[in-house]
Amino acid sequence: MPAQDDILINRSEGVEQLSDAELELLKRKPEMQQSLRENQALSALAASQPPAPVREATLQQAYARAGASNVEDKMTLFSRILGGRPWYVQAAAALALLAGLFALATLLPPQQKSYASQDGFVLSYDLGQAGTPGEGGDPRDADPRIAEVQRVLEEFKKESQARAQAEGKELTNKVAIQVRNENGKLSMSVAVMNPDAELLETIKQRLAQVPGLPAPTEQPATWFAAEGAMPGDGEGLSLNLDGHFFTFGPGFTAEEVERTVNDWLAANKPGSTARVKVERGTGPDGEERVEVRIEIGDPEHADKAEGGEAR
Amino acid sequence: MQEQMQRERFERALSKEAYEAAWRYSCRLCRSREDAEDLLQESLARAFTRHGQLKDPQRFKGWLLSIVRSGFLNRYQRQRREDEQQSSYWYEHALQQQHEDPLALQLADAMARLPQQHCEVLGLFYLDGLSIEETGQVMGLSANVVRQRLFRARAAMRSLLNIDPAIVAASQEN
Repeated sequence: MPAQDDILINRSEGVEQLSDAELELLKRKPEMQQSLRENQALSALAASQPPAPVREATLQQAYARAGASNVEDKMTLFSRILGGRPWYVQAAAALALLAGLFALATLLPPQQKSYASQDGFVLSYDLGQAGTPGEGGDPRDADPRIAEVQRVLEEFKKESQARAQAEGKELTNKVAIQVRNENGKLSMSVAVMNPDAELLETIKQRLAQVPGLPAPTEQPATWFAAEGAMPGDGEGLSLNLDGHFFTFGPGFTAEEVERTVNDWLAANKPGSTARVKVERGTGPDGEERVEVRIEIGDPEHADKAEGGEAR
Repeated sequence: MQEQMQRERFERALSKEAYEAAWRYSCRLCRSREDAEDLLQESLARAFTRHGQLKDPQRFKGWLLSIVRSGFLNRYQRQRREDEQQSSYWYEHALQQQHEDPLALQLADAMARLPQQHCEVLGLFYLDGLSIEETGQVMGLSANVVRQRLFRARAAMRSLLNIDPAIVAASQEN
């Protein structure tokens, strides 16, 4: 943290409280005296509070309120509405309520499709300018490093499967590869789902041995997909929010994206909320295009979703 | 008997510092002393009934202030939007005091004119003496966001000050 920030955060009020770095800053930036001066005045201001009400009396009032609210909480909504009314009125009201609940249940839509999420990491590799694709037009054919990465990962999968089988365990971690060619620039992402630190390190070490492969950028990620689906199965969405990758499965909806991103924001960026809009259409060459817009609700955050990308 | 024990436990946890911080915060949020007293009582009532849910006693002060805040948002927010321009009871009081430090009066005036989110973060951090983490706990923000808001709020506060160079010079001599 810069020394200038320290003066504010440490609430330093005089030069005797400053570190060497802060004193040095003070020599170079005399205006920092003003920060010290403001800290002193804020401290003086803190002392001038309105006299507090007598603690004992306030607590007695608070206990009385707490007792009253407990009694209220113990009354059910039903007893509040029907308390003191004749039994036949209560019975009629109960039947009406049951009929209402039954009608509501029949009107509810069928159960939603099941979705699952997995946590893990994405290793992103910038492969530079793409070569000429092979006959099938697949960019993987244009770069031998991609084929080598695939081979390494296949070998790793087989080893993991054999080890899990031998130990009588179910294999929970998964590895998938995704290659993109954007305006002639080739990039590759290796998704590692549900790994422990050791597994991730092993994969990184093995991939580091692929000749010519640059060092990866490592980012934590969450995959959100229809139960059983994997990244790379059909069309989906990948987006990067503040260094965290989200991948959504085929047929994703704005509601799913919004719910998942908001769950993540609630845990990692309290106070922020996301609004998501998904528009599907057809591009100039007849290809399906999906536009995703995400707005993060707290203007204090510089964080922005770096453009949803549809495949 | 059980309630008596609950009360004793609650009163041991409610330090003088926490009680006064809750009072100051109520005064900064509300427009009048009556509203501030009402908010304080209600917050203490809620804190008393929920005290058993607090896992870390070290966080009592921040926890209590977060109850004050949510109580205020539930009850007074709509009203506050309507009279956004009115200053809070705390700043009215501060502006009427005789301050030995002339800059303190200027700061009170500047803080009273700041947007709510700036005013709130400055108050919790500098006036109530909360740490960055405790301020975040009260406002439901991460420590990084609290830091950012503090820097922005200080800059906003300074922009509202009519700085007298003599004040700064005097402090240098001291």
